[in-house]
Amino acid sequence: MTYKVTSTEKTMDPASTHETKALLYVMNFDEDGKNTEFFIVDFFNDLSSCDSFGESRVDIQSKANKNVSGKAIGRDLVTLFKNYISEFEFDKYILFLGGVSQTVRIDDTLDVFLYDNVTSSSKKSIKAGLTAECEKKTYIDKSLYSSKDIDTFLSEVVFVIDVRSKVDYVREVVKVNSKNMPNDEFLNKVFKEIRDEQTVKKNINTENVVLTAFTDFQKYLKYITKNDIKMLVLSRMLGATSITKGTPTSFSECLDGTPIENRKEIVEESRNDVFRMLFDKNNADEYWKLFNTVYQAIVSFPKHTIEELYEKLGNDVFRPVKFLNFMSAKFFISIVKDGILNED
Amino acid sequence: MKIKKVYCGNYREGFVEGNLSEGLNIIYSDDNNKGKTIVIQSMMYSLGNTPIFPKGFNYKDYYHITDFSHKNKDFSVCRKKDNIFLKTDGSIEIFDNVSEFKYYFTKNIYELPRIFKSGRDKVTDLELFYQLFFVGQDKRDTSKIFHSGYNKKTDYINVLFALKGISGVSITEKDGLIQNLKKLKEDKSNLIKKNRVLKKKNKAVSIASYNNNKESIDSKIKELEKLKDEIVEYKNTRNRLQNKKVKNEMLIKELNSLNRTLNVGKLVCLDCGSDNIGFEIANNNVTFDVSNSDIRAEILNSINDKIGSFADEIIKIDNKIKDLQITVSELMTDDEISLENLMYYKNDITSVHELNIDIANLDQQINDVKAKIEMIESSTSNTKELQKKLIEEILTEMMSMYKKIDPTGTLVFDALFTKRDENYSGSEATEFYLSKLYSIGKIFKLDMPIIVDAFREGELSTPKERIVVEHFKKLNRQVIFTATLKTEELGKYDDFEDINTLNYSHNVQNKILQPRFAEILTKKINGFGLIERM
Repeated sequence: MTYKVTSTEKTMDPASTHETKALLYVMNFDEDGKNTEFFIVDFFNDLSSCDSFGESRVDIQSKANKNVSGKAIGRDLVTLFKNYISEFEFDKYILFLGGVSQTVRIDDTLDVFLYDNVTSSSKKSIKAGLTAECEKKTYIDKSLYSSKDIDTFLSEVVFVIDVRSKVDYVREVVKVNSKNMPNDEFLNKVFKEIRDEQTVKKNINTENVVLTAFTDFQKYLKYITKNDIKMLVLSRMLGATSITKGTPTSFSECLDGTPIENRKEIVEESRNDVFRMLFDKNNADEYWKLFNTVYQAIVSFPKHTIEELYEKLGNDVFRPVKFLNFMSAKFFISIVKDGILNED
Repeated sequence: MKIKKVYCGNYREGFVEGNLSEGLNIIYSDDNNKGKTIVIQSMMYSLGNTPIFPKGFNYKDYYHITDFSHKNKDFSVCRKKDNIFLKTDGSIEIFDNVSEFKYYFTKNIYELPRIFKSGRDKVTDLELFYQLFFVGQDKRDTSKIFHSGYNKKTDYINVLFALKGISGVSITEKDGLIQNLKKLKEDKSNLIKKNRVLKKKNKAVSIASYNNNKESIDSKIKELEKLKDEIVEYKNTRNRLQNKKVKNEMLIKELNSLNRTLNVGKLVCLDCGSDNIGFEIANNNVTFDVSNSDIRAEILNSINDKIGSFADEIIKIDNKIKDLQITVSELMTDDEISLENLMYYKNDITSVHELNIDIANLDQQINDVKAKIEMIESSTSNTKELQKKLIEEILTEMMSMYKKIDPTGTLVFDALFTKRDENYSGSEATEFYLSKLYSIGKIFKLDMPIIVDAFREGELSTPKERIVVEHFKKLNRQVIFTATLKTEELGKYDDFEDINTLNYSHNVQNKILQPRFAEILTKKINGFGLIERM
């Protein structure tokens, strides 16, 4: 007698991948997404987002299926609608789909569209599907809405069809020099890291929690910040490319005055310190704090030299990671500075 | 690979050759010492070759820079003594010695063939690989490779086999090994003899004998001192390299131990045994790792490469030390001046202790060679057949080219190198080298330029030159020839079709480096992050 293990991660895979794509879509491709600071996971909806003050709120429902018809779309809209009629107001409602069946769109070259691009027959089935689902769900209080509300809601929803690969999304997260862009296989792994973090957030149990303010999501840690993701992607990209190869050009000025025979050794020692920092599994918090601080300094003062940046940052910022000294700290700053695309 | 530009000089004077084409080039002048060899040697030196510069040119005082491209990527390499800097894609790589550069070269620029040498499978040295398409002007000896020493003829031939994927047993290699074993055993017995002599406590020294031979003794002592200093310097370098190697080996151990998470236990409710206990995360909300496995693997690879290059360099230096120590013991076998005399008047030349270590080293090498011979003896004969065929193919092509250049020539090429006492000279040597380069160029099609300094040495006639140029053009690679012409011959390359000629006649004799290039050189050197401190 044999037993086949089913209904595990493999079957859940497409859905969680799609949710990560939704997150990265809002972060990099949506016009309102530019202000996003917090991505709230599995709390108000599959995914929601807001800015640093809990405003500019976007609510997202993610459905990976490719060939969805009108009725199914209607059903999928139920949680967005629930939020629409709730106390918390969102500024945008997005249904992020894997694909729609042929009959849904009037102009099927549009991947981002409103209700007015939906064919009239599909409109009927969407409304029917949504209305039926609302009746079914116990968490929707029937006294709180009317058929007219459903109509206004439908006219506001933004339908987005995912047309990009995982790698396309990762590439957009942070602008790096072309020599620092790793290959697709590597970028896929970075995508997986983001997805796994989203899954960790999902697993925090908040069923039946009652909120008084929108920003209460922070108490339950069910969020990832845009900065977390940006730093992760940048750090991985630099680690895959710059860290083992060569001396960053901006570091040369720190070697001024050093005799030729000794330069190699100083670069080696600095690089080895950075290696130690990257291998130290037990100090991740400090590493990300440092990386973020260095990145912010570089971006805020793009014309500063490495020496000037080092002066500005000060020694104390580098002490917690344990392995850097004054030289390898400058080396680390150079790697990050040369890796970021210079916007000037 | 295509050479684009060559620079040589420092912040005060220099020379720039920027007119090379991607086809066939001839650099010529109406007299010697117009800088042709310096430019060619400088170019190859910056690419990691062991140089043969003309006497009197202090090449170690200058920076040698070459801009080249390979597979649509541009590179710029700068060398001063053993420090090599490579610029590509906006970043600069620094190398402490040629071995390190070689490892980078084979991984990131051009994959070099691997041969079996000194008991290991290793990457071919650049100074050997380059000989497949580069022939310099000086120290030509058709019975040997250039820079024969660590690398030998058998290694050259093994490179050819490796390029065709038929390495392994070679007829010549096993013979070479047996010769090597014989020599090692001889060296060992010589050292044992020296050892015995030094141990003698006979102090019966005659002052008269010293006075008679004072001059010879003093000059001999001077020579021994010089050798001793050289040995000491090499040993210091070796120790430095050994330290670096060990440091990197320890770094790998350190990194692996850092990469282990501490095993934490599980929190359990003591009352009901449930592990559903709330935990407040102190600081950070998100739990990304500091690096992923790909990044860590790449880091470990890069360190292992460094260790490999150090190991290479250490073996080379050990061989140099061994050679010098043998020279020392040879000097001391001179019967005119007795060993005891020297020992009496100069105690610290060498010690019994050092000789014992050298004998032990030789023992080790003898065992290595014996092991290799055994391994080879149990190999297949099929590879031998293929190798024989390849050599025949190369020789046939060589003879064919030779007959085209010199239809009435009487030489017969039956091997890739002439016998030890049959060194060709003059135009015969030139025809030999040209045929060899052409044959290898045609059969192996390496994506490398073909370079011959003094390609008509021995006064090759103009019709012969024409044939050579026509044939080398057909190889479809960049070719760089140099030639010294008589004044009346100066215009003769004008009617050779489709070639690029560079006239060096107007260069100052014996002084190719000029102050007017100082600014360009300074800028170029600065581009590598190097700024001179006065």
